[in-house]
Amino acid sequence: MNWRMVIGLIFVIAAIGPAREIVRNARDLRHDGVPAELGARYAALAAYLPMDARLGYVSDLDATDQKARDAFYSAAYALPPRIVHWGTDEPLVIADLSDGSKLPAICSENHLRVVRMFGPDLALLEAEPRQ
Amino acid sequence: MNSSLIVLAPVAIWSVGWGIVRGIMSGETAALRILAACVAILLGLSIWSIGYLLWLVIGAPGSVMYLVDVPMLLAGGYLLTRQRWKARSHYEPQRATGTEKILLLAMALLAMIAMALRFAHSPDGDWDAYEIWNLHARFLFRDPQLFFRAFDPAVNHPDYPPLLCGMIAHGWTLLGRDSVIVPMVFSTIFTGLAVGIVGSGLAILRGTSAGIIAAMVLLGTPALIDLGASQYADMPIGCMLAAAVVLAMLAGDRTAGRSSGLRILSGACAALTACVKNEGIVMLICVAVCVIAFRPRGLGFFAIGVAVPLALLAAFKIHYAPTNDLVEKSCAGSAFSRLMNPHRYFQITTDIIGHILSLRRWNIFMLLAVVIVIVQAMRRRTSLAAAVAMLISVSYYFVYVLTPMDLSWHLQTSLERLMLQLWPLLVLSAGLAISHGHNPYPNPHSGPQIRAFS
Repeated sequence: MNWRMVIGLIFVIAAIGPAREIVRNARDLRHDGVPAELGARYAALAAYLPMDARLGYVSDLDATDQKARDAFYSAAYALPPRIVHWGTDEPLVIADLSDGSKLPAICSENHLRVVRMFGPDLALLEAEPRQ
Repeated sequence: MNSSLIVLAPVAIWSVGWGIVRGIMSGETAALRILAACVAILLGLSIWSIGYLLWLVIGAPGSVMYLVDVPMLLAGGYLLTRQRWKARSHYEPQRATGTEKILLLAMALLAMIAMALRFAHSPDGDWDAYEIWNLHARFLFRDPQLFFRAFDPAVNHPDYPPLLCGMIAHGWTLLGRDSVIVPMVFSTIFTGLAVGIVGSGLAILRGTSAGIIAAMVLLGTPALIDLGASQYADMPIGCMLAAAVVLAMLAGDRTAGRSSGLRILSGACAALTACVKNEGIVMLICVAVCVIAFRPRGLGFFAIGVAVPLALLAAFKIHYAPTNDLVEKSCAGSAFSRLMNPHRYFQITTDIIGHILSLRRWNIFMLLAVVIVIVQAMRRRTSLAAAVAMLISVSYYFVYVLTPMDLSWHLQTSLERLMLQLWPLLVLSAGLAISHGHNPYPNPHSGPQIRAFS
């Protein structure tokens, strides 16, 4: 086998790699379409919040639920330099819900009240004043 | 700031990087020129990022363009007026044939199309990108006065060094917005640099065809394309590691460049890995150990190269970084019980073998490279590159043995990325091993091919 054939053979084997990636990525792109900007749903919330805010985060889904985690990470990515962490122990808390009708239950369970709604399933909450 | 001024940034990066490198490396052959250009870009980008981070630390006064980019441009201009390093010996390498050039270009084109489609599908990158690197960069960019918030314990991996985020945030600052294009450009550059460094390094050490094959192997690795386009830091760190090893192997060869300078550059690249990710500290130690074992001559120059990035890293770790999560969750008693648990060794080993055999991710090349490197080690013909790759692999193996995290989760979320970090070096090691004595275009003079393998 001469050198040109060796290089040709390596090219053919190597080309399988990017060719597969092209097919896979093109298929994914056709299936999912070009995605919207990650965290775009939090744009109005970000505009409302002060830059140095520290925010709690609450969801109607369990913290171990992948969908809830994805939403949390999207919020954390969209809101810098504001810091977001899971929990209700901050003066301001984001309620990021899969089902907006659960908001009253979440508020009452955590002694929070709505500061402002940013859509049917996204709200900014604060602690209820002590009686 | 006028965002069109961003065009000055590549000029500043190039002029400083090339200004430093041209005083050290020769441009005798195309391979040496490509390697020098890759190292220049790597250095220039790192200096550009460090300049931005220092600008943040001093309170972000005034425009970063006038305080960092313009001074870099002027410093680069001054460095470019100095005399270029001239090799004292000459050799005539075989040029790449037309077929080789066409095949390499075709492979690069395929890889770029695959990466472009990946970018279109995930413009913000994958999880690590938008939850660590681009997230930290957003903290730096969006309010320079609050940049330290990137290292708040509530943020993901706040202890990770900020070299890569500094590059991204610097680009965004000049552009005036946090465009997804900037991290895409950097991930493409680093993927290209990894291919360029390994390809040109092997071309210098073993001949042009060996270099072209290595470049094709890297471009033909699906995991490299996929993770490269995912905007992760594993590609930059792998690229810097490969550069450190190639430069250490070339040090001592006066055809390649000034020996002392090559050692300094090697040390700098090794230490820069630690400024990209925490794993870089392991890499730096492993490279240093292997350099001491294989090439102790001129060790002081290597240490000089290490000093500045390491000092900056130490300053970051002392002043800003909280404790690493692995360190925080570790305790000596449970670490000992993990060390003595045979199931952990079995699980780690089977996972590693599973990844090596994954043709879907690594083509057939990972299996071949690992077999070649192990066979060479058994024949006691290990090169510096293979020794570094093996030492880092063993270190990573024991990090998994000792990890306080859930082992299955830890392996699942990180093993492939760690393999990617080592992949350019493994290709270099395998290329050095199989091309030994089979270089189709042997160097007729006492060029680097002979000394580099000593």
